Amino acid sequence: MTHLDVRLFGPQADAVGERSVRLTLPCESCTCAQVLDALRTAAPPLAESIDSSRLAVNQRLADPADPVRPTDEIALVGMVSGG
Amino acid sequence: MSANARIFDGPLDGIPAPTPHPAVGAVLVFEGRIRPTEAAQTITAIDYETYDPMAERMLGELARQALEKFGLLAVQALHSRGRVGVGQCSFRLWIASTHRREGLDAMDWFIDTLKRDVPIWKRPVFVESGAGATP
Repeated sequence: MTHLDVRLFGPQADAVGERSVRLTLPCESCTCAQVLDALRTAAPPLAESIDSSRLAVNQRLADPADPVRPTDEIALVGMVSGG
Repeated sequence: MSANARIFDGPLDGIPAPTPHPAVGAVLVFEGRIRPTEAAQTITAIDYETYDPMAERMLGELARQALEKFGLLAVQALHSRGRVGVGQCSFRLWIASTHRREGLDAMDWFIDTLKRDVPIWKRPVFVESGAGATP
């Protein structure tokens, strides 16, 4: 089991009503894709926007196959609206 | 050739533009300003939230990528954090190039990439109800 915290921002944080979500995943070596899947279940208000979102791991955009560790800083980057 | 980026608290109005290099043939400036309406509702401002320091670092990386990809002479990208009122400037992209074409192409590419990837979010401040989520 792996425990992870995922930071939320902007409208996704508003939708969930929290600035982060704590996840418990069944994997030992988890990937970003698994984290996104777990987020879908743990935070249903994110369901609509999560397919167009990515994770940032240690402040860098990550790919679905990239690994995540419990000590990483993980953030959901979706619905961005800069400019 | 130079590329730099910075995020400022509040509006960008009054921040001076760079001085162009003597070899520059074209200077392009794009300013994003706060419209008075959002989704047909009147607003007074937009609150910008940034994921720090990732947002500023990514703006700098985009500036350097634009410099190389389009053969520009200089790029400066500025963005606001926090509250920016209607009519004020929240984003400024300054591009210097030898000819206009590469500058115009770089402008489109930079803004499209910013809006897709850079972790910056906005919340309109509606007249009636205060801050709200992006529609």
